[in-house]
Amino acid sequence: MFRKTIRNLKIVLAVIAVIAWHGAELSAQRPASEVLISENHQRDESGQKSKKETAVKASIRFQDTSFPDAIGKLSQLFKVDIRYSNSHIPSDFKVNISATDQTISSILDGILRGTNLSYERLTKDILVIVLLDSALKRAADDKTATISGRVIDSASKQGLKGVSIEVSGIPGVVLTDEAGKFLLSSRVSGNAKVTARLVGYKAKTQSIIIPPGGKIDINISMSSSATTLGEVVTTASGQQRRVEVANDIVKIIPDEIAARSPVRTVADILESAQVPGVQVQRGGGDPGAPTKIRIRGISSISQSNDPVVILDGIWIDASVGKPSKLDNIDPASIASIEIIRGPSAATLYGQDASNGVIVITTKKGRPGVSRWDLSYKKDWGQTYGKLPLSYIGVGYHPTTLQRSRCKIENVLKMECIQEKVSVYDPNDPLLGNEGVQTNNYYTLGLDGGSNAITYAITVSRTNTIGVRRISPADLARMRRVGYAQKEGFDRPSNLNRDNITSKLDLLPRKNLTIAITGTNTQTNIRDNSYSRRDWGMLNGNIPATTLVELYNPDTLLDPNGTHIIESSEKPLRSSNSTIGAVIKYEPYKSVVVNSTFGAERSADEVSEYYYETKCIKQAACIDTFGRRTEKNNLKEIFTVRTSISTPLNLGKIGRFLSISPAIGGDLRQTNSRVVSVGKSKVPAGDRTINNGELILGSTHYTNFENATAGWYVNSTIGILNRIYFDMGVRQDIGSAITSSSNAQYPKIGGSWLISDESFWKENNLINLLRLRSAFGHSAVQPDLTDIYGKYVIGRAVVDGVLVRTVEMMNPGNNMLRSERAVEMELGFDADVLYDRLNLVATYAKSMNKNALVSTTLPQSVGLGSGNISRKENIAKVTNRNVEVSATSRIIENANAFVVLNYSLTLSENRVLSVGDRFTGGDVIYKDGYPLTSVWSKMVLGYRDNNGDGLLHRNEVILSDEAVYIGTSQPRYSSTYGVSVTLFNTITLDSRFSYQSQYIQSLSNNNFRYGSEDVNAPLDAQAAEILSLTTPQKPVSDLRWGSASIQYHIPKSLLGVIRGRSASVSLQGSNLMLWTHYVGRDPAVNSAILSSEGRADTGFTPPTPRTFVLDFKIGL
Amino acid sequence: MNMNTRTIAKLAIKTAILPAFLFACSLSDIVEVGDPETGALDRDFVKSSQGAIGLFHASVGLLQAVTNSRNLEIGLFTDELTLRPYGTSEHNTSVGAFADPRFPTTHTSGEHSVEGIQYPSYASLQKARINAMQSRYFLKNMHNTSYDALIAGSYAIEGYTILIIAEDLCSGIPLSNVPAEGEVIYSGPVSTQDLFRTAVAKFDSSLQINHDSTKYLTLARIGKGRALMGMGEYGKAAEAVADIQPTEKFEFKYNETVITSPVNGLTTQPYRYWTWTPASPTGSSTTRSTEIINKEGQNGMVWYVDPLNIDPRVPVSTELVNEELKFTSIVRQRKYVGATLSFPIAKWAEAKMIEAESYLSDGDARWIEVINEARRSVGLPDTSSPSSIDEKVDLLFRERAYWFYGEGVRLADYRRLVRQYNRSPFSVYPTGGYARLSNRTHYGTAFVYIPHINEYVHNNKFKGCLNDNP
Repeated sequence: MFRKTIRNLKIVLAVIAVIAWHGAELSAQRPASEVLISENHQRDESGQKSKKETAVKASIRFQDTSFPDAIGKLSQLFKVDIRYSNSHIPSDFKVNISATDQTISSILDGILRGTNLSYERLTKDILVIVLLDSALKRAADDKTATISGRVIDSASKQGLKGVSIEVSGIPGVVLTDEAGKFLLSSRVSGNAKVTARLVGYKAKTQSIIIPPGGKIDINISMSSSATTLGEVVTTASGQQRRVEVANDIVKIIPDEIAARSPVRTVADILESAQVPGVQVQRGGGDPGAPTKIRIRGISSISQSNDPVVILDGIWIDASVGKPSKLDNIDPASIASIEIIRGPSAATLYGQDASNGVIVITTKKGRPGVSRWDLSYKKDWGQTYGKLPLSYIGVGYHPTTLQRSRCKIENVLKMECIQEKVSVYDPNDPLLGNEGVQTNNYYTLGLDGGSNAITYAITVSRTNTIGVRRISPADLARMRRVGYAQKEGFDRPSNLNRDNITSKLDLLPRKNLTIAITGTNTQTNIRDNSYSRRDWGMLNGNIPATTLVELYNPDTLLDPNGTHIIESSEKPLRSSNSTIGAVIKYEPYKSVVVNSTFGAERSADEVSEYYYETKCIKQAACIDTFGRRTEKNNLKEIFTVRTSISTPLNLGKIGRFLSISPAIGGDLRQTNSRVVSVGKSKVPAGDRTINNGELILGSTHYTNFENATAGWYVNSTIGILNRIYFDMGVRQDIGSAITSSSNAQYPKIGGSWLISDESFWKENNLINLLRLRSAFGHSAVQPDLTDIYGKYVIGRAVVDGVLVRTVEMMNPGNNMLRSERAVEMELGFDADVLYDRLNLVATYAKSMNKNALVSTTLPQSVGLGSGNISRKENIAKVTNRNVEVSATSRIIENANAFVVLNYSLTLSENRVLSVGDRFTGGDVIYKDGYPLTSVWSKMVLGYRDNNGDGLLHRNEVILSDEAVYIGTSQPRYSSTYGVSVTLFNTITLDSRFSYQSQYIQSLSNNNFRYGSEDVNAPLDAQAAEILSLTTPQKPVSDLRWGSASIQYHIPKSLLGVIRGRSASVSLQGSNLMLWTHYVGRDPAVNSAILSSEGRADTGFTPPTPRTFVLDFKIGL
Repeated sequence: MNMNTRTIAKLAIKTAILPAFLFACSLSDIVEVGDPETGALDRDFVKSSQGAIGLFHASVGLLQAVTNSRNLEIGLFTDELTLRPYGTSEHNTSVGAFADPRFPTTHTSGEHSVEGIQYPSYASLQKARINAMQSRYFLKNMHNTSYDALIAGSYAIEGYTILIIAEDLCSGIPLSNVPAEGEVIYSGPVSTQDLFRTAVAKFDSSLQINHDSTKYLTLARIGKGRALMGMGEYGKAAEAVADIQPTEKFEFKYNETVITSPVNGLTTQPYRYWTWTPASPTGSSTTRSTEIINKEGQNGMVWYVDPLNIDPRVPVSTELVNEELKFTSIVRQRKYVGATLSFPIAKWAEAKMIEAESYLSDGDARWIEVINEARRSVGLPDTSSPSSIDEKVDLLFRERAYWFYGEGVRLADYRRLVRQYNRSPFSVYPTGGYARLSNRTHYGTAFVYIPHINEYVHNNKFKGCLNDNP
């Protein structure tokens, strides 16, 4: 049933689109004047009696009603704020009045008749109940003055809420209301200074003269400051400003990034945003190549280090794959991305949040006439960098005499007697298999609506033809023999992606909002390995009989030579849909109930058709056999989430103290199903008995569910609008966590806006300073399959009869617990140097206790041969990070706006408690060393004894033990950016990034220099011999990541096309790379995807250098 | 469709009850999900009678597979068989685990390296043992006497796997355990004597159970006798096998028609090791032939004098082999020529040999009568007792060698000769010229097998063999 619903998501989206379209038409038909009135109404700041308000009359009846209840009722009825001081009202004051069709003035007159109270209208919607006669007289004698006013944003002219107003000589502060208004009384008079402070704005001080016993009304206009502490982010207590949150949350606006960098995917945005602590690792430069996101390094040895991704409140699958699931979200549809690092994530997002959380919010429609945003990007890309020569040895096994390729480690181990070494130059233009990548990216955005309903739709289409091509040598060969080439055959790697994202925001009642988001993405990738023939050859996947011919470079280049081409064509279809609803309901004043329901469904279909094409001399090439595998992955994630938050009304104390408690719970269920089918296809006439038949091979499927539920309580306490405490605890339970080990995750954090303190001497060296610290727990849970034992069915002949057997394959481990991360962070945010420089620095430390490690079981436990492993909670991993970002507005005037950005990430981790040395595959874990340690033996000395110019194994002395040589993750990385805007029309932007030394493995050991090369220096040869299996290269890289020039078409020109905005830009990315790395791009390789190490397989194209033309227009 | 309908229904219920759970602190029901299906069995099935019997069958099947390769391995290790070089044109030959059965090599895994000969069937042998234990756990839980024969069988199979470990491997092999329901228990080294003792205990447990399966009774009795022999307890051994009838036996049977199941390795590779098919004299490039030679490594047995006049216990034949158009005459065993021939594990002749050795150890002259009683059963003439004790022992072990040819007993006999009869290993094991590949001229120096390197690397309680000597 549900599948059908999901399958019909397109229809649902279409319906949403129709509704939205209809809404657009409706709003377009609405007279413009009404809209204007509405806007004027919002902007009304006159304080005059509104005709609309006074015209309202009502009938009421109060009988023995308490005064607060009666006033509350009136406030609600007439939509005015009636303020009074409790000290003026006798506690036993009961209201008894009956009024029919009366204004609020007459009703209040009636209520207050006979008391010493009266009322005054302060603004059109604020009434104040005051003491009459003698009380007023006394006030007048005291010369109590009333100071009122309004604070607005200098740019938008909108009122600012929550601005703290401090008047010299008057103790305490008051806060502005929703409209930016404030009111306070003063017994002092004369000269005074009013200071307005709001995080995100430069503090503003104005001089006033307070008239004794009189009134003064002031307007304060505040301009924004460099800090981003005023941004609103999502937390367990609801939407909060960053200043109230104790840990550092970064908010990215994708449209801002896209204006300066070529952005096609979410990974592109995250990379271009240059957020400290966020690392984007590329699996290759092919279209759709997977990317991996790491937030604050890695801390899990065997579990996923992938962050949690939340799209409009629902969990989505963000596992690394091709294409990356994250890349199925259309960047053009995103309003903001919040990156939550550190301790606060777990309370709201629960288990698995310890790798960080990426919260994506899609664009919301804006009320008003429909707006169209169109953009078109066209780009061209080409890879750069050279591959080193490859040396290919061929020989035979000394005992078996079996002929084979001699890999260097085989030669060194005396397992291969090398007869011949061929040199292969992968950079030979005739063999080169990369061309120009082209890409078209179209987006269309539409939004609009009324106050009751808004809609936003984003539609995008991407078509990319990747850099891979068939080499000219192969093409020539095939053409010569008349091989029938399929369409697009010569450009085998391409991607087409279509996205639609719709969002509907409904406001059926004043206290109820419903936001419905639906997304659908279809990605088709074609990935043909024809062009990777060299990889197959060099990796030795070639029949031994043809070995010598293949490794003869002359044969390689001879278009008539006998040649076998291995090829596989891999069409990949990926479909992602999400549907979610966020319902916000306020049943009572300041009680907010938030509920989210949603589901994500991702389906991948990968089919691979493998064939061997044989081209013999002048004869036609033929496909000699084939094998087909098909794999279907289906994953569904369901989200149910509810929270109740209620900022407490503390009355008078509320001026100093705010408490916002929240309670919530959530459930996430994941269903995963993988079906893989192997088939064989053999062309008719070939040498097997199943000529031409498509044979269904093995079908294998896995199907498992996993559910996690949790609940939490959380509270934010604000003191004097300067000090905030954020604390909470969460309890989780999951299918993979046994009930005996229910997981509780506490957190506590504090944030102190110290520069707002009265003792802080205002100076322009430090304009704003916020100190913060947070502590909390989070976790990564084991997989269900790690817990359960595994038995399989087999067969045996017992007593001559075939019987079914049952064998244990894996005992599982029912003692597993979640990995628990204990995290702590300290940091500050500061605006310094005349508000020109914003500094954010954070030190974070985490300890992953109970880290899960796959331990191989000895064969004596009876699970058979092979390295059967299971997971155990045995390790600890500590992680330390320093993150610094600096944004400086060095020039800020009407004609020029220059911003410099700098970010620095220092990251290191250590493994503990795994023992002296624990080997998991090729990775060595050792106490006190990083998780991504790389170990190697050392060259103790070498001497070319026979003087042949070549070092042999016995001429190099190596250490017995491998020693630690570094880590595959850079210890620090930094980014630099400069952005210049001139005359509000031209923006220039450029970005650089640097990664410090890290160890890169060249997993293809043909991909090397030195060995058997008499021209290679001896130390290089010794280094090659050292690397018995995998050469390890320490590398650093400095990259010119992007540059752009953007021209905003002036409004005068826009009038011609009746547009809102338009721009054209030229962007370049990955422009230059400075590195001493022997190879192409050390940061890009496919091996980083399967492990946390980096190993260059040599033939993965790196990210191309790309130039983009980008046109944008808003109508 | 079903999965999703079910999921949606569940989800709806969970959604409805979520708020209630929020305050109840008991969320276990809400996260209840089905077992993962990963091509593996449902856990409940394993606990059923079918699952328990399946586990038992697995242990029998695994043991059968072990003995298949073991008999060849031990044949090559000792003087029973030798691999014949394929002449000058030999190339592309790989016989995997059987390549160098007497030559210790260095095995490496990551940072670890171990010198020795890894027991090829180590993993399977341990697996057979664990499966037998797990099957017994579930069978006992059935509380049904109809499974008693299988329970007794599981003890006997387990005892036999431990017996093989004690006979073939160095001293100090761990017997780790994976209880059917419980935690993995790693074992430290267990000495050869303790392994024999444990095997005896398992056989005794099997014999304690009343059941109607004579084959498991025979396996348990002869297995116990053999284990006691390994401990030097000749009298008790003879007692254990007393009154075994000539018809009593435990053997592995094969089914030639079943080609996709684990069957006798000897029959799936008939041309490689044991037999030579004249119809395909050239074989393929991977063909290696086994051959019987007399006095292999100078200490070896004289298996035949005249290939046309042979001992029925070690049948041989001379064949002409075409090696790249070069015909060579070789002598091959003919004990196993058909795929369906059963493979003996426990038989009457062994009971007789145990009885004879027990008498001999007591200095009882009846030992030669027992030897001759056995010889007469296959039509061989009587033999007389030599005068010296060494010659008597030589005769006894010669008889054993013939009776158990190709049955994986020879290595255990070598070890007993060294351990219990104080013979020098260099006088027992083949030590002389070695007619194999050109780069090997003499036998190696290994006396026993070592476990797979995996055990050294991944079992913290196992640091290596306690004793490599026989």
